[in-house]
This record gives sequence, C-alpha cells and structure tokens, in this order.
Amino acid sequence: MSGAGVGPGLRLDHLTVAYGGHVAVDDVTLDAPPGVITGLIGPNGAGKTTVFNACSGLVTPAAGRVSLLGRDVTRLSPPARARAGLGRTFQRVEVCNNMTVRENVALGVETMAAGTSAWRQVFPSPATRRRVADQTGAALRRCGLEPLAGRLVATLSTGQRRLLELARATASGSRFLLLDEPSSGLDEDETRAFGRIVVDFVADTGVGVLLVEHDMALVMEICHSLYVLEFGRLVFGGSPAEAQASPVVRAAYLGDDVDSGAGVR
Amino acid sequence: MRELLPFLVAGLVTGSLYGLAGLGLVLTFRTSGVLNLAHGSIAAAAAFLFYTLHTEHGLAWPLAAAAVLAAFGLVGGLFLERVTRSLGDVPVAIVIVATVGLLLGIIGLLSLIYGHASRAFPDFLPTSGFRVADVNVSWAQVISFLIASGSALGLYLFLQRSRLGVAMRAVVDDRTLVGLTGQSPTRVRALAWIIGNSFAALSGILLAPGLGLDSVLLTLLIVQAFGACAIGRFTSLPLTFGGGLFVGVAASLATRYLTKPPLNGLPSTVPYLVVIAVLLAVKPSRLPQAAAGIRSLAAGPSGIDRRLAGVGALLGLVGLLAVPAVVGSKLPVWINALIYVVIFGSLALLVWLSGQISLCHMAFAAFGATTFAHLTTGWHLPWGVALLAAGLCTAPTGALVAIPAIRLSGIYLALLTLGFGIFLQNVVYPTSFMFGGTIFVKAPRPVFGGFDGRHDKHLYFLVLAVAVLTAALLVGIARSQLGRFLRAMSETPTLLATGGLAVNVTRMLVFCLSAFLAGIGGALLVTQAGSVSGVGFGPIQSLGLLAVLALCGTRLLRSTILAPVVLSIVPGYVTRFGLDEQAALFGAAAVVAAILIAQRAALGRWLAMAASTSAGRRAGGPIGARGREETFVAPVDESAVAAVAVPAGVRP
Repeated sequence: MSGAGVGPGLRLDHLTVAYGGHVAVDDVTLDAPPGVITGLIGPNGAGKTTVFNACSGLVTPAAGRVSLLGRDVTRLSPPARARAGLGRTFQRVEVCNNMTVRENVALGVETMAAGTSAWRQVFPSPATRRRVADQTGAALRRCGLEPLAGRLVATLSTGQRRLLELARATASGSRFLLLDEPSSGLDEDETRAFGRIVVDFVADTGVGVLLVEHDMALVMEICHSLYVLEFGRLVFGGSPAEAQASPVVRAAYLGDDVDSGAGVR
Repeated sequence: MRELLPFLVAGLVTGSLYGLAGLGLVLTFRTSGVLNLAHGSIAAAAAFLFYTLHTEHGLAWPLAAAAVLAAFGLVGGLFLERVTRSLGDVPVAIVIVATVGLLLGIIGLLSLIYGHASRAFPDFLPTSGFRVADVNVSWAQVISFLIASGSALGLYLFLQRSRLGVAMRAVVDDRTLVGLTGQSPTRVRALAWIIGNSFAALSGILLAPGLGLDSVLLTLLIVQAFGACAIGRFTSLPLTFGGGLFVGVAASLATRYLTKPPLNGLPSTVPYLVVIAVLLAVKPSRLPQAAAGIRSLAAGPSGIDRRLAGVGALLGLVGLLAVPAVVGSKLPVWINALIYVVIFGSLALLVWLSGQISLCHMAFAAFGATTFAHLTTGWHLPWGVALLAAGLCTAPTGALVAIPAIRLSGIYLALLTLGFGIFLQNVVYPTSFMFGGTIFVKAPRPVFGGFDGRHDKHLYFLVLAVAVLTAALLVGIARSQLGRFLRAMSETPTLLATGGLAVNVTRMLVFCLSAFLAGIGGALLVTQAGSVSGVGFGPIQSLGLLAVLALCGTRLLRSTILAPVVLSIVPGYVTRFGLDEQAALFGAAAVVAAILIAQRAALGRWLAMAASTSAGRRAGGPIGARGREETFVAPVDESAVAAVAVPAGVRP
C-alpha cells in the first residue's frame, strides 16, 4: 500500500451537527489525505452518513469547518462543493432509473460542466461534449460496465447499481470522493471486485477517498487509516492494525467481527 | 374602532366555518396522506343538496341537514377513503390529479343538474337578532358560530378522550404511525374521512346563505380553508381552527378597507396570500410530507423503434396537412386543437418530464394572450414579432412561480400555484396591464403577402407549423442534456446537486420554457377567436387542463398530442357534449386514470415483493402505512426484480 499523497485532502475541524436537540455528530476532527483510502466506521446510527452529508453540504453543521483541498468550503452550497472537487455516492443508491447506464455516468460529467450557467445547461460546448464522451467511456471501462452501457438502469442488480454510482463519481473528475457503504447489498465476490476498482482508481489518479463501510474485511484490506465513530464522537483514529488491537474500538464496534473477518481472509 | 366591530363579528362567523372546513382538511390529509383539493366542491355539493331538500321540497332544516351529512359524511367519506386507499403509494402528482378530477367532476355534475344561473340561497336560520355594543348580531350568525365551534370542540374531546381518537391524534401527528396504533388503519382513516367530509358539508351549508348557490364560487371560497390549514402548518388542529378565525377576520376587515379596483379583488384572495406567506416563511422540512413528490413519473424510452416512430410522425403530418380539405366547416375545431398542442405540451414538459406541478397554467396562457393583444392592437407590432414577444414576456411569470418551487414540491407547490392563479384572476386580470376593466382583449389575425390568416385555412397551416415546432422542441429537449437534467431532477434532485449542477437554475429554466410555450398558446387562442375574455383562463380551466393531460397518460409527446383530441376535437364533433358534460366526464375520468396509474405502480410493487421474497429478502413494513411503504420499497424492490430477471452471464 502506498503512502498518502502530497497536499491537503478533506479535513474536518471540530464538526458538530445537531438535529433539533439531538447532537448527531459531536466535535469530529479528521483528516483524509489525497491518494489513499481513509475509512470511517462505527455502529449503525453513529453519525457516519451525517458526517458525509455535512461534507457535501446537505446538512448545515452547528459548528466546525469543512475544508477541501486546503480550501474552506463550509459556507458553500452542495453544487459549489461538488465543483470544488468533491464527489460522492449514497448509502441508498441515487441513480436515474429511467435512463441508460451510459446516460447516468455521463450525467456526472455533464452536471459538473454545466454548473450554474443556464446557457451551458441547455447548450453544452463542443469541448464539453468530447470530454463527456471521453470520461464516460473511461469510467465505464474502469468499472466494467461497458457491456451494460445501453441498458436501462431500472433493470440493473444492486451490485451493478453500486458500480454505476462509482462510475458516475469517478467520471466527474472529482479530486475527492465520499463513498457511503458501497458494499451493502453486494455479495463477497462483488465486494472484492468493487474494492479492487477503488484501489486501482486511487492509485492511478491520486484522488482521495473517505469510505464508510460495514464490511470489515474490505475496510482492513484497502484503508490506509481508520476513524471510528460512536454516538457521534470519534473514539479512535489510526491505522487498521492499531484499530484491530485497540480495546476502545473492540468495545465500541468491532467485537469478534475482526477475528472472523481475518479468519476469512 | 367601533365601526370595525360589525366586520369583526361577520369575520368571526365566516372564520369559524373556514376553521371547521380546515379541520376536516387537515384530519383527512394527515390520516390518508391525500390533501383533498376537492374539499370545497364537497361543501358546494352539500349546499346544493340541502337546497333541494329544504328549499325545494320543504323538508325541515335539521332533517335536511342530517340527510346531507349522512350522504356526504357517511357515504361520501367511505367512498373517498376507498378511492384514496386504492391510490396507494403513487407520486403526488397523481394524487393531485385524482382530487382535481373529483373537484371538476362534482362541479360539472352540479352544473348539469342545477344549471348555471346563480340562485339565491334563502336563509334557513332566523335572521332576527339583537344588538350588542351597537352591532347587529343575527341569530343565524350565533347559531352558525356555535355549530362550528361546537363541532370543533366535539372533535377535540373525541380526540382527547376516546381510544380511537387518541389513535387518530397519533396519526395526525405522525402519519407513519397508522399501522402501529393497534387500531385498524382503515377504520382510523374511514372515520377521519367521515368527519372531514361532514365538516366540509356543514361549512358548505352554513356558508351558502351569504354567498348564493354557485358551485364554482362555493368551491373556491371554501378553499379558504387552505389558509387556515397553512396557519396550522397542515398539522395542528387547534391552530387550524384559530387560523380559520384569523383568515375570516382578515378577509372581512379587508373588505372594509380595500374597496377600489384592482385591490377590491384582494379580500377574496386573503387566504391564499396567507398560504403563500406561510409556505414561503416556514422551513419546508417542518411541513408534513414536504419531501414526497420527488418521485419520477417520467417514462423511460417508449420501446417503439425510432424508424417506426418517424414513419408514424410522417403519416400523422400528412394526415394533418390534408385536414382542411376534409373537415369542411369543422376546421376551427382543428385549429383550436393544434393550439392546445402547444399549451398541453408546455404543461407536459413541466409535469411529466421535470416532475414539477402547475395549477395555474391557464394564467400563463392569459398572460400571453393579453400581452399579444396589447402588442398587436396597441403597439401595432407585426404578428410574428408579437407572438414571439408574448412568449418571451410570459417566461418571467414562469420564473416567478419557479422561486417557490425551489423550496417546495408536490402538494405544496400545487397549492401555491393554485393560489397564484386565483390571485392573478382576482387582482391582476382586471388591470389594464392584462384584460382591463372589461375583462376582454382583442387581437387581429395575421396577414402578410399572399398569406391571409383571416381565412381559417391559412390560419390552420400557420398554427400547424407552430404545433409541429412545439412537438419537435419537446422531443429535442427530452433527448438533450437538459432533458436528462430534468428527468434526473424529477427522480433525484440530490444527485444533481451533489454532482455540481445548480438545480435551481434548471428549475427556473423549465418553468420559463413552459411559461413561454403557454404564452405562445395563449396568443394563438386570441388570434383564432379575435377576442377573448379572462373567464376562459380561470383556475378551474387550469385544473381541467391537468386532468385532461393526465387522462392521456404520462408520456411527454403522446399526452401532448392526445390531450387536445380529448379537449377540443371530441367535443367539437359530439355537439351534445357540452362544457358541463365535459367537466363531469373528464373529472371522473381523471380520478379513474389516477387510480389506474396507481394500480399499475402497485402491480409492479407486488411483482417486486414476490421476487424479493423468493430472493430470500425481507422488504416490508406495516401494511397500509403509505408513508412506510415509501421508505421501504423503492430501493430494494427494483434491484430484487432485476436480480431475478437478469441472466447471470451479463453481470460484470
């Protein structure tokens, strides 16, 4: 596994998110550098998806700072953050069922290029069209979706939809990706294939990834470092090996999962 | 201050009746998830039936009232419970279509039975009274107020004391609890519909003496209840009743101060101004079901071969070119149908492709028609230039509606656009800016070179060209990048936003485009007719537009082409098929169409459920809790179907 890339990736400083009186994320500080995969794990309801939503601007934090590639994006809208280089996938897959696979992937590039310009939303420039075709093709190849390119998304399996979301996120040219439980609903083979695609993509492009994931085997294998969230608070930050050894982490989340996970491997 | 007291008393009385209607609305909305836009027409129908029983047949008023309550509360309530239940879990646009259809159907039926002449509704309560602090208060007012607040109090006690009432209160608070209360959800909902309809009927009967027997007036007036509901944030029953009182008093005081045109139209729109203000001020997440409605209706590729579609289009075009030679004196009917291709196309673009909704579409057309009339008769601009300018001037009106659409979707957007339409008709139509005091405008037909639009044949080809251009534009948009953005927006706006697209700009674009087309359609309408009045562009017409569009399916082009056939050509040939018959039939048909669309979705869900069970997966929730099903089914089922349907070989 290679080391972290140069420069800043995604940084959270003392991030706090509250829903009404309930503090879902409490003073979380974490650093996910570019060029590697950083894991964010924790039991259900620990606030992982809320952290993601705060990163991409879907919820407004009560306090704290989100910086992307060294730039403070806390005040930016979701689209502005995306254009600043932040891409993401969703725990509940967000795809357009009434479009083809290719159209869905192209959407990732097109939304980025069109941005706020009404004119460009209606009339994409020839250069954009070429870029859409190139990046869409590359992403479809990377994720092995080429044979399905013309298929209607409504007919895809869960695994194929997860891959489709990944393809769209990687096509867009984002410098940092948030992947929200990409392996949920996938079988073991599909999960391994998924993991390989993400690892290769990160190695090829130097893009940083923050990964929320329940499949511990996958997390231990591909993550460069790990953060553990419990009841909205960070209880651990370190390498996967340290996490396995940490009694705090075991108590909070891993339990015997790690042993059985390691056994499978 | 003293001279305000009579207005205050009158306001409190009508306000209590608005509050009563509002209670019924919130109760049914929160238990069934359906905001019944036809609530007002139920009140109107109740008033008519009461009129027949009491005034025409001399039945004593308490007996007549009891019979009406039994008919509309009990029978109507159970009927509506059944209808809304069979709607199940459909996109909110379809629910809106169903209730709009019900509204139109009832209004049409009432006009068929009772005719159009507005009749006086004799006072059935004693008009004698007493004086308090120099204000005349009639016994009728006292009794009305007591009945309204007594009913509200009765509901309050029922909800506080009885087991079923507590269950209902839980459901009003959080709709997804309906399956968890230990009471049969169907029973809770049926009772809610019975109470809700009874309240509507009661307020209709008690409001009618002051208004006269006019179905449209009664329907739209009781929609004042929406103002009351908005103040209660569509959730709180006590606040809703209080809101009714507020709306009544505010409207009554407004009649005292706003007496000069165009502002004298304002008092009747007070509730809508309240709705608009509340919807714009309250955070959407604090409104029930604010997130519902972002479910796509846009159909996927039709599966029809492109070449076949091309041949079909060509044949259709040849047929249309031959129309003037064949149809003889019926040509105006065909011109009218082609104009409606443009108007329906603009609505289909908005509703089917981008998942938005508009209940004020004829107001856009009215804007186009009046602008066009002013530009041609007033400024003497050439016809073509004026047509384009009429469209371009209407586009900003679309943008105006798009601003609330940024925050709101589904039922709230529907309410807001309905309010906007009523506001325009009451306040802006009578200004010289639009129709003026006489409420009608004139425009000439185009004449250039050898082309003389005064002949229907010439005009036909011109309008045909515009209709074909519109259809081509729709196809072009659907296939373009913008079309993909719109389809994605109707399904998952979050995806677009986190992908870097300024979705608000996209929304603005589609509303402007739609208004542009509707404006062109309006300009063509006034061109054909020579002169048009504002009456033809009212909120009821806008509702009818949506109902007819929905009759013709949810496909962009097919509904755009079929809807004018239903709206213009069929009535043009079947002359006994008058406006009232149309309203009644189209309304009923829209309800049926909505149910069919819902059942189509339910069938798909059933298949998915079967597949997912066989795949060893559990996808379920409290059956009958519509809210629950939304959260459970969508992501799991389709993939489960696919997992079964997709041959193993194609998986990557």
